[in-house]
Order: sequence, then structure tokens, then C-alpha cells
Amino acid sequence: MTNPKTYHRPTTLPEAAQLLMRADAVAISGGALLLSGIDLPYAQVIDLQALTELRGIDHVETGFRIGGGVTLSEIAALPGLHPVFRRALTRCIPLNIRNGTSLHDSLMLPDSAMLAEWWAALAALDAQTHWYTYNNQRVSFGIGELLSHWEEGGGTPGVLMQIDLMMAKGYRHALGATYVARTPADEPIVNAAIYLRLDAESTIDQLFAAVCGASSAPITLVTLPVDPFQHISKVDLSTLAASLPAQLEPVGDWRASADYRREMAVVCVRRALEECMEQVG
Amino acid sequence: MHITITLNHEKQTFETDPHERLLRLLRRAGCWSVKFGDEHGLTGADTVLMDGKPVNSGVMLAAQADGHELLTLEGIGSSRNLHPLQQAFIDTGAIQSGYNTPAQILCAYALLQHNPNPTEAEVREALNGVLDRETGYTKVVEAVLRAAAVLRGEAVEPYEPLQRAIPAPPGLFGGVWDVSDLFNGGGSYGGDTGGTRTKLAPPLVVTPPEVAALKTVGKPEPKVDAVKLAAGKPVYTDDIEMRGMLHAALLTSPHAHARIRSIDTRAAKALPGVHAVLTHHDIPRVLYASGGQSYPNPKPYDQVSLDHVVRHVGDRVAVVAAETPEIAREALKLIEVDYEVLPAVFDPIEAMQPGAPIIHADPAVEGIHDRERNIVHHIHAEAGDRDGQWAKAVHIFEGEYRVHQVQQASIEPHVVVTWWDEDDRLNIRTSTQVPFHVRRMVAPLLGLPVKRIRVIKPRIGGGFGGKQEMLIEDLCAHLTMATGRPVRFEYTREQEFTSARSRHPQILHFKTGVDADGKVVAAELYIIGNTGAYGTHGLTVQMVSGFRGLTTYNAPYSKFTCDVVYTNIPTPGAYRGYGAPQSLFALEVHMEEIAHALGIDVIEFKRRNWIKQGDPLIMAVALGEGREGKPQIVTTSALAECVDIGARAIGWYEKRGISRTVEGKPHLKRGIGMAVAMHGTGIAGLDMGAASIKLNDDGSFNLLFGATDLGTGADTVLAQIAAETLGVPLNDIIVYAADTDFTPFDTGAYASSTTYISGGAVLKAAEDVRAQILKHAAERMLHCSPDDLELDDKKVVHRDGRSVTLEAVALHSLHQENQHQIMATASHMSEVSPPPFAAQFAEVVVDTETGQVTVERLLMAVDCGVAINPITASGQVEGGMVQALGYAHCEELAYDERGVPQSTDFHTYHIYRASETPKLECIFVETYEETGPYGAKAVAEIPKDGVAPALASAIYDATGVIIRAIPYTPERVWSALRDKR
Repeated sequence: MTNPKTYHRPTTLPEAAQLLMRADAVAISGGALLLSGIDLPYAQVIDLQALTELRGIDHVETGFRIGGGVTLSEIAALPGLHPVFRRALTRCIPLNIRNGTSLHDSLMLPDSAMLAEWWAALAALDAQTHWYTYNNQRVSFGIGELLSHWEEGGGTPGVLMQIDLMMAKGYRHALGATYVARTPADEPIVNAAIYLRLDAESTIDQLFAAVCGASSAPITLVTLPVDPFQHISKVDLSTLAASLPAQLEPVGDWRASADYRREMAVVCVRRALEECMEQVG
Repeated sequence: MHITITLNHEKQTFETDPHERLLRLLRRAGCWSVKFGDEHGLTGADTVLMDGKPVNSGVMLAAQADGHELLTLEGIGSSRNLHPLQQAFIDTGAIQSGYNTPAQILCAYALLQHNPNPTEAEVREALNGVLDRETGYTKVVEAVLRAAAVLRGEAVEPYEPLQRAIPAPPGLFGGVWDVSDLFNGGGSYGGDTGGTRTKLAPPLVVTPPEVAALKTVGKPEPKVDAVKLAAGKPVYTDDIEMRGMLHAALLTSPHAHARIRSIDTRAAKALPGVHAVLTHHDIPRVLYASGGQSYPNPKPYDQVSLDHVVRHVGDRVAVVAAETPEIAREALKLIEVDYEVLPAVFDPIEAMQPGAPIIHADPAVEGIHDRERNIVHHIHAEAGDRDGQWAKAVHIFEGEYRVHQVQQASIEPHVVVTWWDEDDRLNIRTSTQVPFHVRRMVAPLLGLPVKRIRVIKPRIGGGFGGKQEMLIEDLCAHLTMATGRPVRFEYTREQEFTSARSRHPQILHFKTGVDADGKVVAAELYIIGNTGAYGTHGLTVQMVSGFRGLTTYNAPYSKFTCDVVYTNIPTPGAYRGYGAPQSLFALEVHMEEIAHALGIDVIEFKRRNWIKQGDPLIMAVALGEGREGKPQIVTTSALAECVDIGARAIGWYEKRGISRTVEGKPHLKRGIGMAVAMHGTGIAGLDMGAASIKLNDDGSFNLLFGATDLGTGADTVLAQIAAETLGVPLNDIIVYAADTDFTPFDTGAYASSTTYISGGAVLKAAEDVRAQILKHAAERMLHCSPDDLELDDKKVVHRDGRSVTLEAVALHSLHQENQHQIMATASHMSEVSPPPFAAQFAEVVVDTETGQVTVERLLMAVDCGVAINPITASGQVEGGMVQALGYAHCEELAYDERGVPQSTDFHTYHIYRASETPKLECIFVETYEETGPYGAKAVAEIPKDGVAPALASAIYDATGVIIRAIPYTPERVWSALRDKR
């Protein structure tokens, strides 16, 4: 009758993968957001908390490799974590929810407004995700690929083992993000994140932008018109931001009209770029 | 399945089902401190510590806790052994209803375990997972910082806020006073206060010279219920176990307007565990109005318990009782309803047009003003010489203003438990503000005489007017009558938004005439009030809107017209402020616009025009509340002093009108704004409270009354009045409240009436008991005249120095001579409603590129008469300001084109959290209101009145744009700025 009808706590990844083969199964690790609401649409809950291999955090020279079972609170508390990630995890996600939500859970919910800033930051960085699939394979996707996979109707690849929040050696990096919301701790109406990578000559090597709240999809990866190897000092932020509207198809709702969302996407991208510029000097 | 949990330091094994939430298991296990607030974990009422970290037990399966350590408030301290956090919450007045107090204490406990010396920002961050609809967080933060100091072993000063009470200099009232030194310093609890926003000092109280030195009144006594609330004891409606109790669930309409062609309940009834399924076929069709108001309730009686027509999404369709909540919900899915969807209308102007869908076509419903145009009431009231005053007007200003619909959002939802007792009387244990109204109103719906119904009001987890309604008691009682079993019925959070009550949205049009001296000579206000699907409080709320909108500036000619209109949105009702926040927003913005247009300083313009002490209220007779009003005169007012002190305290004159931007961010503009507010104190000639007091053997007293404490501290304030009068400490007053079998009548908690009206009854009863004590002691013990005696320090004291204790008087009168029970019952009503006044100030930052408004500071200076308890009173001000901020800024009930509510949880309906709440300050500028108990007027509602117009004023100061509609969402502000450009 009431879901879930069965609860499993697998102790190995193969066991978890086997259990997750069923269409009516869902994996949780913390589960505060996934179990939210009265009716759970899944008959089987596969609780990943006993999988110790999902609990690791490796701090390496280029960043972090974080296990899928690590909670958002633990991530937010990591010394050396980029402030954009910390802000994304703390501004509008209350502590209790962070404590009850794992990295794995968060990647199951790309359309959660509460997680929009986290998703935008991950998408801008195109963080690498590593999965243990239902047929016991290990596969990796960038966030962009993952979003495309889902947009095309693909299911969850499996159990999220790790995510890499890393920035390649030999470059200068910047991550900027901003939002528009009703109040300082409200879920965003529109938000954007930018990842900027410069080579030793301060020319742009990579520039990725992710915007939430400005299209029918939860996250939009946008292309900013930057010439290859353009020197950072030559970049006109307003021009970059102004190129955005053509790439957006915002949908208005009771919180904001489509026009407003489009305008705010431009403002957010410009401000995120400005934050990046401040970081790279 | 079996799970093993270390619960409150003890390893225990539980039987559970895979679907059982941890919240349910813990309450089964007797951990009553863990509460339900919503299904998403966003209220945080369900907080527990798992392995030392706060998590939401309502969004966890019990099975997930297997093998973990759990801590609830029961594991931290008890009423006999309070943890320093619990004690600090009591000392600082951080507890109002207490519903979320256990969760707040747990979050603070977890913080202090790893961070014994937190900053204020860290405390706020730790509390962020727990929504507080009552306190504004200020005192909660202060409590945590204080407890941290205690736990660090530091000496902490007794919490004696009246040390900061300052007798007003003789020149204050009517003069000018330098307050610049009053806001320096303030205490702290050591450690780094890191960008502190909490003024670590009690509210400032400016006391008029004539206020006598009193022993209990005016003192920051801890709430009489604070210990049990701090300990998380089972004191709320849902904290009860009954053998055989069934669980109710309500099926609601998915359509905004529809006729039920057929409804098939067979499959639901056949579901094992289902005991009753009731539809309109099963319940007598008795018309009623659900608003909890005095007899006779204003017409029309346009509701029935279950109807064959549904008039809004969320309207009642069927109700089920089953063995478990899960079975009840499953049964709802099995009810097949065939709807004939009818045209619906949501805009009140459209609803009044010819050809609009008629929402109440049933001719049996009497009292609808214009059924075809959906106008349930048309109000017309005017006073003064119209032609003469308009002739004086050399300037005429008009403006249209719009206010929206918001929800009370008490963290405890509506919840009721009903059962037959051993005498076959129906018991209704309910979270209500109006137990006596509920008993009277539910009786005809059930076909029972009033004498067979008992209504019990336990502690309430917040109400704010939403529980001034006979809302779900009828359905729960019908289920008990159908099954013979106890039944528990609690709204889901979504139902709170779709099927409970809310604040009326309005369109207000002001037309104001001003003479050559800048004096308002004529004012006309037309309101279109949207009462949604049912009339309930529609008439009276709009009447209050009209009265408040036309009284602060009291134009010699005033006219109010209003159309109260049915639409197919969920029904508004009573909400703290009751019509005043709507019209005072429009009025204050309108006045500010006039001041700017005339080139007069806004404070000066308002000062020139606001009602003064001794002035009659022009509209008082023409506009009562559902009936003709009573003549009123302003007997006390410190409005001028409130504005003066508040302006100086916030630095108005240094900031207003000076272009200021945030350094390095030219798009961030600073602004400061102000508004004034005038409210009421009870409903003149209508509200009545009663109280009984009896003397016990040991010289203590039982105090019984029907007034309902929603968390406001009313029980404490009423006990303070009794204690002061009877010469005993507060803990010698044993309070029992709001049980229709045992306490005298009270109209209930609304209209800012409890301290003034119910307090008046307590004062009268206490004075009667006092006279009886003095008489007995004089005649039988001290053999003197009662005139030579007084009560002090638990004794009867003769002016010659002799004394007898109250205990001796009690024993003597009960057991030894002329034996009798010293006791009294008294009632009180008032023909006047002395207005409290306030000056509200706000500081904001406006992002001119996005329209995002950030509120940095709210300061309110209040004349509430004498604050009987300045700590509970300041809690009302702080919490009220934050609620009002939500109204002005971010809270909104919105609908799609089919009338489907879009904000049905706390993701979408945003309530301010601890980390973002601005700095809050409260100043009491006391007057002594002779008609009130110990000089008191009201304080509970006036904090709701001034924040929205003060924000409007501040946004104007920052940007030069007046915005005539709330809430000030980013797009609304951005659009206004764009239009200006």
C-alpha cells in the first residue's frame, strides 16, 4: 500500500546495483529531499549509507574528489573549498536539509530550485562524475553530458561514486556565481555560474556558463562569444552578457515573467563574470 | 522489520514498517517534543540529532536510523533538570508558543557541542533549519549566546531588562528628548559577536512618570508555561494517545468551481482499515458561517460541512477515518468523483461584471447583497460635512493600491481530536483561538445541544487569526459520531495553504482633500475586498480596513465604501491585524505621496494631520465591526514621542533624503523609510472576557479564564495582573485556561483584546477576591477596618505593622470561622477601544539592476500603554515585524489561470529564516491608559501595520519610486524602476 514497501541497506556496490535494477527502486543517501512530500513514488528504497566507499573525500592538489555519500554539510565545511561552492550549498539550503542530503541525492534532483546554485556551479565547472552502473561498470560523465543524457530521456546511470571538483594544473582559474531571489536566503529565481580558465599569458582557455531559471530546462549551458586565445583584458563583459538572450527561452511563472528572467540572466552572467575577473586580477 | 536505535542514550529496539517516518516512530516512543510542521522538513519542527547532527525526522524513514544515535529534547534536559539552553530560552523570553522550541534547542545544542563560543552569525546559521513564525529570532539568538556563556563557565548577569527602563524626563511627553545615548552599548555574552545584529540588551522601555512602582506588572516575568514548553512536554492538541483512535484525511477539490455529479465511495469503504467515508450525502445540510465570531454570526451563512458544489481548489469533498493516516490517504485515492466543471472567476472586478459565474446561486443562502454580481456585502459609511470639507480642499489626491493574499502559516497546522466521553458527551480537543465560539457554532452542525459538547484548548502552536475559525472541528466530530471512535484530524501543509484561511487581498482607492495649510480635510476610501469562495470574515475585515484607513488622519469628512466580492480562490479570513495592514499600507503610502507632492517633509506632514490625544474618532460610530460602532476618543497617545524617539534612534535625520550607495557597488542604493500606525484594543461593546479566582489553603490562587494564549504570553500577563492585585509572586497564581466545561466564557484571542478585555476581567475578579480577603482578615482575625489593610508579599498587612499570611487567612476562612470559599468571578467588556500607536522605521538596500530589496533594519517605537510584561510584549513586536516583513516582501499566495495554488509549501511560500532576518529593535514609549488594567492597551497586532509602508517609503528614499502594490518582489521593483527610466 504505502511506499516504500521494502527498505534495503546494501553493503556492497554490486548488491546496490542489483537492487537498483528494478524500475520502482530509488537510491537514497540521506534522502531528506528525495523523501520530501507525502507520497513517495517508489516501492523500493535502497539506502546507500552502508557503502563506505562512497564516504571518502580526497583533497588533492587540483581540488577535491568527493564520495557520493558525503553530505552537503560536509562538503560545505571542507577547508579550501571554493567560496562559490560553499555559497551555493549554504545560502538557501538550511543546515538540517544539508545534513540529510548527500552528494548522490543532490545529483538526482537537477530541477530542485533549492539546489540550483549548486547545480549551476557544478555545470559551469563541468565537474566529472563517476558512477557504478547497474551492470557493474564504472563510467564517468561531465555534468554537461549528464544533463544531455537526462534531456534525452536517459535514466540515472547508477550509483554516484564520486565527483571531482578539480581545476587543472598550469592555469589560472576563476569561478563566479550570482543569483536573484526575493530575500537573502530564498531559493533563486534566476542564477548563473561562470567558470573561467586562463593560460599563463592570461588568454582565455575555457569559459563556461550555466544559467538556471531562464529556460524550460532546469539548467542551461550557454556559450559566450569569446575568440580563442583572446586576452582577458580584451574581454568586454557587457558584450558577452548581451549575447545571452538569443540562447535563452525563459518561461514565465508566478514568481517572474519570461522577460524578467531573460533580463536577469544577463545581469547574473555579467556579475558572475565580474566576480571571475576579480579573482584573476 | 526491527531496528535498533540508541535513543536518548538508551539502546532500544523498535518494530517499524518500511514506510514509517522517523518522526512517527519517535512520537510513538513518547518523544512528544518532536513535532510535525510540514512534509518537506522545511519548518524544522521535526528536528532530531542523529549522531550529533540536526536532521529532519519527517523526511527520514525510521529504518534509516537503524544503528544510529538519536537525541531529542527529552534526552537533553527535563523540567526538573533544565539544560542551560532550556533555562536561557526561558530567561530571555525566547519561547512564545514553544512549538518549535525543542527543535531550536537541539540545533543550538549541536552547535555548542563543537563550537562553544559561536558568533551571532554562526548561531543564526545553526538555527536556519528551523522556521520561527513567532519570535523574529532575536531572543532565540540571544538565548543561545547566553547559554553558551553559561556552558563556558562564565558569570552571566541575571536577565533583568528593566535595569534599562528609563523613567521619562518630565519634558518627554509633549516635548523633545535626546535619545542619542540610549542605543550605545548593550550587554554581550563575551566572545566574538561578529557583525552582531541582535541587540544584546532587552527592549528599551520609556516609562511615563505617573506609572507607579509595581511589583509584578511591568516586570519581565518568565512565562508561566515556559518550563513545560522548554522541556518539550506533551501540551499540544496532537500530543495525546487514545485507545482505538482513528485518523482522518480530507479529499479536496482539484477544480476551482465544479458541481459533483456523482461520488462513489464503495472502493474506499471496502479498503481494510477504513471505518467511515463521509460525503455530502451523509451529513445534514446545515448552513453556517465558519468565522469564529460573537453571536449572531454575521450573514451570509454560505457554507455547509460537505457540499455538492465546490468553489475553490482545496474545497472540501469527502472525509475519511481509518486505522492509520496512510490507510486514510489511500482511501482518498479510491473515492471516485465525477465533477461537472463550472466557469470560475478569480479577479474580484471581473466577478462583479454582468455574466460572471455566480458562485453562490443557492437561494437558501440569505444575506448576499447582490448574488448575480457576487457582491456579498456592500458597505457605505460616512461622517462629517461632505460639501463643506471638500470645499476647503485646495489639493485633491487620488491613488489606487493593491495588496495580496498571504497565509498565517502557523507552524502547528490545524489539528483536532474528538471523542465521546463516559457521559456520551462529545469532547473536542482542538488548536483553536475561539473555543467557546467553536462549541456554540459546531453544535447545530452536529445536531447536538451545546451542553453535550466540551471544547478543550491545549497549548497552541501559533494561530495568528487562522485559528479564529470553526474550520475542521465539524468534520472530525462527524467522523467520531459516525464511528463511535476517537478521531484525529490534522491538515497537511498543502491544505493549510489551500483549505485554511488567509489575509484578504484588496484593491484600495483613496481620494484625499488637503487644505491650504496642508491639513487633510476630506478622505474617501473605496475598497474591493476579495473574500474568495465564502463570506466568513469578509464583512468585518473590510469594515476594519475602512475604519483603520480613515482614522489615523481622521479627516473631518470621511467616507468609506466597499464591495466584498466572492471569487473562486481559497477563502481569506482572520489574520493578525484583521484588515488594518491592508488599509494602513495604502494610507501611509498615499500620505507619503501627498507629502512629496506638496513639498512637505513626510514626518511633518503626518504629524500635522495624525489624530491627537483628545480627538474623537470620526468614523467610530459609523463603522463598527459587523454592527454599529461606539463613540471613541483618543484618551492616550504617545505617537509624537514614538516618532521622535524612533527617528532619533535610527538616525533618520542623518540618512533620509541623502543619496547613499553601497561602497563600490553603485547599483546598490540605500534608503530609509517610516510609517505610523494606529490600531485598536479589542472590539468596543462586543468583546467580553471572564475570569474566576479562588484562594487555596496555602495562600495560592487558581486563576481560570477562557482567554486563549496562542503563545503570546497572555496567560502570563493575566497572571501578572492577578498577582499584582493579590500581593503574591507570580508562581502563586496557578493558571488554567480555555476549557468550556471548567473556565468562564471568553470571546477568544483576537482583535488585540486579551490583555485589555480578559485582563480587565482578571483585575475585577482579583479586586473582588482581595476585598473578601481583607474583609475576612479584618473582621475575623485582626479586628480592624478593611480600610487599614493591604495585601503585600503574601500577607495581609495592617498599617500598624501587624500582619497575617494569606495562608493563615485561607486556612481560617476555609476551616475555622465563618467558613466559606474566598473566590470571585468577574466579566469585563469595554465600550471603548483605546488605540495603541507606533512609529515604524525601515532601512533597505535596493539593487537597481535586479529590483532585489534587502531589508537591513526594522525599528518600531510603540505606545501600547503600560507593557504588563515588556519581554513578552517585545516578543510580540519583534515577531510581528518579521511576519509583516514577509507580507511586504516575499510571502504570496499565487494561482495559475485555473485557480490552482502555486505556493503550497515552504519552498515556494518563503518565510524569513534566522540568517536573513534583519536587525530588529523595539522601543516602548508607555502611556497610562486609565481604562486598561494597570494602564495597558494592546500590542499584539500593531507590529503588523507599519512595515509594508515603511518599506515603500525606504524604497522611495533609495530610488525615487513609489510602488503602490506589495509584495516588493524583485520583478515588481525592477519594473517600477524601468518604468521610471
